[in-house]
Amino acid sequence: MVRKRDTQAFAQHSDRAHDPGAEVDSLRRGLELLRLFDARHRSLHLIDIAAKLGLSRVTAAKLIATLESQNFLRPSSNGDGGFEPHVACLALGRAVKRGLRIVQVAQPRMLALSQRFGVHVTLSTRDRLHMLVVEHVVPSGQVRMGLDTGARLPMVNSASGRAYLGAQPEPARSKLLTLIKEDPSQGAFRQASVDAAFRELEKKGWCFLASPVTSQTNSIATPIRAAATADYVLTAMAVGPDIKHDLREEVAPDLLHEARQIAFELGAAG
Amino acid sequence: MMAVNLPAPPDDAPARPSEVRVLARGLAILRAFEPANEWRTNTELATLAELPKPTVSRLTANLTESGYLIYSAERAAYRLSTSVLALGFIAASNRNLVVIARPLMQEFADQHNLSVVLASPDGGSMVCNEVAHSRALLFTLRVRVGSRLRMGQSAVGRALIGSMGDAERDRVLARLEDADHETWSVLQGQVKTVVSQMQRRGYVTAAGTLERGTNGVAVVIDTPDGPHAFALGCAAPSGILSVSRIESEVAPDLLALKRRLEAELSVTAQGLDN
Repeated sequence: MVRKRDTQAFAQHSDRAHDPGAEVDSLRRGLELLRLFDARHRSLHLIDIAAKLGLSRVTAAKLIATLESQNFLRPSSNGDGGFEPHVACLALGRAVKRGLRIVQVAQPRMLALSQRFGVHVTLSTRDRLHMLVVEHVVPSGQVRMGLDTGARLPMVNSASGRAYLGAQPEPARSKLLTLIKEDPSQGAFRQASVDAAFRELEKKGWCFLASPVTSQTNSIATPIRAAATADYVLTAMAVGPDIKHDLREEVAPDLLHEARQIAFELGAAG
Repeated sequence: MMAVNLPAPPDDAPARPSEVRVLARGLAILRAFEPANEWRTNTELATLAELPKPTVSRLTANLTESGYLIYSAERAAYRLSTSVLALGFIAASNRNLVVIARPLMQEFADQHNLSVVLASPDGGSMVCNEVAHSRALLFTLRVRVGSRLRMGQSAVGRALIGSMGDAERDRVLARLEDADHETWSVLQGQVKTVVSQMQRRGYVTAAGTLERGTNGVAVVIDTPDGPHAFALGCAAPSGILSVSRIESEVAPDLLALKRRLEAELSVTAQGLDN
């Protein structure tokens, strides 16, 4: 089911003055504020925060003050007068990871896959209309490329997102696709390319995507089908001109095997 | 313009006037799931967050609707959802050593007119995680982010070897003997000096070992993840960076930079277990 609203719909909603739920809206606004920060926006100024959330500066300042007093934000360490996420964000995220059994089960398998083929390996799940990285393993000697726990990937323009969508049963998949088409932040939506990805997933068990973002970055993803659900996706990414192992020919069989093993271990212990 | 939804402060929870009470309480509910995200009932959350149960019920319903909590009817309990990872986690966790060190390294490089390298061990060599060259230097070392320095010939590698316990150092040297015999044989004769330098002064110097005519000095950085996880070193042509200048000026400042970085890291780490 899709019940998470995007930021715009949320902002419209919270503008209603006599909404009986108006009191709790400061909670939602405060959390929307924290969502503005990511790998590319590590620090934001009051004026940008207010503009992005459609709030007055006074309201934004009050939310920031509250988040600051609870250690979710602090003044930017680069001293530019902005704000950056602080230790409470880390503590909460750590708690989520510690409590997720799939991370414990998948981590050693991701590491092994990464070392075997020199690829980045990502475990992700859906957050609203993006894929959220839950765990990421970098091969020895390579840089992170901004990918780490908490990073968000586009839905139809990433191998991970395509594998996730393709694994969802109807009508959930169609509902998500409708929302994605309406969302201006998703980038180009090419129906033919998405349909081809779903057919590939059905036939071969994986989705392959040569990255539209940077050249020489290719990804291959497969859903982890545990019990009756497919909430998580396992993805291998090869970076650089000297890719040693072909993703579709060499990496794919091992990727599918690891995804099945993760699902099996989750089921066996659960 | 949007109305500010500040409810009248109740008797049970006086909030500072600049704070938004509902947000503060919602955050307290989220934090009640630390440290391992166990399932919690409204009653348990009310106790942990020190809030009235009707308030907790409203907040958990709201947090579930917006996707940050998961509800289990079977357990009649809540836990955090993965969406919580979208709440500033990546921006906060990227405040790692490299990010903290970057501006300070550049400042240090400019101030002392040399190159500064932050490196970590990878196999038998040191990989440069960050490099800053003095903007006043015309000719800089051929070292960039991602460059590999030999464990035995670079000050950063020597600092690391000098800080290891005996067992760990023996293992590293044994591996080096197979992988890079030449470096191993050079290092073999100098291990004692390197270890005693580290113990006595907290830094090692390297004269002409990285590149001919280049002097260097390095310290190790202990992180909350482990001791001597990184080494921080600087180098410059010996005409600019004499051994006496290293000892009188550069090394004391480098040790101060090491202490500052370690203090920053430990603040970030302590927050994790609060």
